[in-house]
Amino acid sequence: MLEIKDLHVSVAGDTEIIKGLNLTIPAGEVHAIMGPNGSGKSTLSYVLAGRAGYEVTQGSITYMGQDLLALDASERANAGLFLAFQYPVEIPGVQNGYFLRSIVNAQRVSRGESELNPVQFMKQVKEVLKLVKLEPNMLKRSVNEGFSGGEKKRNEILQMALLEPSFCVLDETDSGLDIDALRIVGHGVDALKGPERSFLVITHYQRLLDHVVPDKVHVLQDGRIIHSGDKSLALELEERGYEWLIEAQS
Amino acid sequence: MSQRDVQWGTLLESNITPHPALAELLNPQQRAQAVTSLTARDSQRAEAWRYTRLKGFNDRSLYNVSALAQATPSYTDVSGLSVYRISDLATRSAHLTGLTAEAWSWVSQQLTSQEPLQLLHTLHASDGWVVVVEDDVQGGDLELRHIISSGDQTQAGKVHLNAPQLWVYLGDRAQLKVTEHFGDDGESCSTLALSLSGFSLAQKSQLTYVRAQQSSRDLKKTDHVHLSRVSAQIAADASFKMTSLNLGSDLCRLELDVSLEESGAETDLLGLYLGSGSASIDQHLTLRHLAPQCVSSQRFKGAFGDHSKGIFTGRVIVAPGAHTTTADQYNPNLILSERAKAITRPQLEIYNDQVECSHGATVGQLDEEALFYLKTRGLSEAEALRALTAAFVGEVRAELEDSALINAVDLGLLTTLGLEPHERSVGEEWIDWEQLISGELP
Ligand SMILES: Nc1ncnc2c1ncn2[C@@H]1O[C@H](COP(=O)(O)OP(=O)(O)OP(=O)(O)O)[C@@H](O)[C@H]1O
Ligand SMILES: [Mg+2]
Repeated sequence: MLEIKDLHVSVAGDTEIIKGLNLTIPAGEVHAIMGPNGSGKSTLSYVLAGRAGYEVTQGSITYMGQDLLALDASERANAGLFLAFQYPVEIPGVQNGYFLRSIVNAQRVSRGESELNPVQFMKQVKEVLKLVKLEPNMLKRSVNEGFSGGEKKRNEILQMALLEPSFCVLDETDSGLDIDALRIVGHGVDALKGPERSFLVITHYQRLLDHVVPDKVHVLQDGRIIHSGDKSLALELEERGYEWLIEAQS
Repeated sequence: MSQRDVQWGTLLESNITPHPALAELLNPQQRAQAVTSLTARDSQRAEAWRYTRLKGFNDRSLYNVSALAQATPSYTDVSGLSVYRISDLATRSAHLTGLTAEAWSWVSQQLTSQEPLQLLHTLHASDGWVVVVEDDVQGGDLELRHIISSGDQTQAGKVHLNAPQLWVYLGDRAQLKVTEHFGDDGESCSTLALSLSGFSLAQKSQLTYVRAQQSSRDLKKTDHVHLSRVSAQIAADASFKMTSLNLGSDLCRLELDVSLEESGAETDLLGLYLGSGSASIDQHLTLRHLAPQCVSSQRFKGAFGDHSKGIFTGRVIVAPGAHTTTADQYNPNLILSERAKAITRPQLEIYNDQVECSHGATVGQLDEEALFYLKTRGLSEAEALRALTAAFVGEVRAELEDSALINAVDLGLLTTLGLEPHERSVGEEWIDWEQLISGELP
């Protein structure tokens, strides 16, 4: 589904952040990326989503047979790519309900489907609200504005569930969640798993991976994947940290 | 852009055909004075007009459509609400028309004031309206549509000038809502609107005033200049609430001069001004706190695309005796292109220390992160831009009751963004979430 080859990414001022990254994620699989702070995890997620200012200087990303880098952010979204942000953005003045209906309809229209009217939309959103245990009243508030950390993360999962993307990147969706919220998010992701949907889960902790069991775990260090393993690697990292891997590198 | 600027000289010399009744108000000496006053390079005037350069409609002559296009007010039939033509008042003695001496004296004073725009206006005006609401009369609603139309083909190449004026006099505890629209009929000719609106509010009266200015014409092909002056004098415990929309023109100046003259007077001034193309939009406010315990609020929002320019000058004068004054001023500006520019100039002149003044003036761009966030959800660049600018103006838009005005704001935004009207809107359509959430909709 996703194939990243020898990816090099620089940000403003020619600072290279991603330094030759290779990663292949087949359809239906869940891959986890772990790694120290500042190793380039969020940068990778932004490059996948198409954020301006991140320059790909070398390498390629192929998504469902097409050149992902040739698409802009909204085309990628409409092609089924979704990023749950590490820090969801507050948008004062844009009501969450309008926002959710607009993005659902934008994607429907891009697929040649008809738009949902408010009642049809409401029916759909009510289901999903239950899934992530958010109150319908949050539809009346501005997007993420004044939401607690956990509510923001759940609003991300809510959008993911509404949009039903094929490829989901979750950037530390588990950070800042209490134990119950973690279970809710884990359960939400689990509910979306399927043979045609893949996940890239960026996390610092093993606990989300209890709910969303990964097929593979990768360690990102200084812009490269330095080690890959199965789900047991996450447990090992939790116990031993990253030092032993970094030392083995040098 | 010399083409679209106005030259005082041109305005003063060509086609000056004021209504005979109005011409009498200005004697030759005063007229000469007006010319001198308007053309003088007086330093104070130069400062006040620093950002609106009025030079040269080239040699294109003006075609004064005021007489033809004189809008007639439509208003609710309320006894105690009277509407007069200025020409009638000026030719007959006031007592014959039923107008009180007080009201007439106020009107005459306004008509002969030495304010530059007033002088200029008087030279071109053909007529205008006086509205009087008697003590305790409420429920009045009056609307004027000043639409410049280009009916006469023989005048097609000329700049069509319209110079309307409206003077409203409210008695004690009277209430009135006034709406003025400024625009054109969509044909292709350049326009110049010179408008005056003045309000006198007696004690405990309340006036709600909405003014909307937009151009339906292609700003690229024709020139649209809008120069207007709004003044209000507010007595004890009276309230003046204004919403001003300047939604599109090449050159626009709104002069707003509000005096809180007696204790307990209040004013709430809300404005939205948009610029596109090479427009220059000048909002020039003077607010005078002349008495104790008065409250004022100015909230003006500006958004500018292409290489347009917005200027906000908010002068707040708090007189020595005006203790316990509350004056808030808020002027956020949104810059939508690299070449667009916004200037904000809060000017507080406070002559006593029992004053609570707040001001927040900002110039900023759309939040890149928010734009990216919206796009990662599948909205196009245009949709995302539209959502965020709509959010920016939402505060003003939310206060509009008339759906035609809401549409006008939305269209104005599209022009500002350089977008076509069919781009999807986010957050613009009205949905009753309460009902939807509780499942009461069909
Ligand atoms: N726009 C930018 N300009 C300059 N440096 C940047 C920019 N974006 C990221 N970086 C740098 O790139 C490195 C990787 O950042 P990134 O956010 O990808 O790390 P991360 O692995 O997600 O870390 P964390 O675990 O703390 O979330 C950091 O050193 C960061 O400071
Ligand atoms: Mg990160």
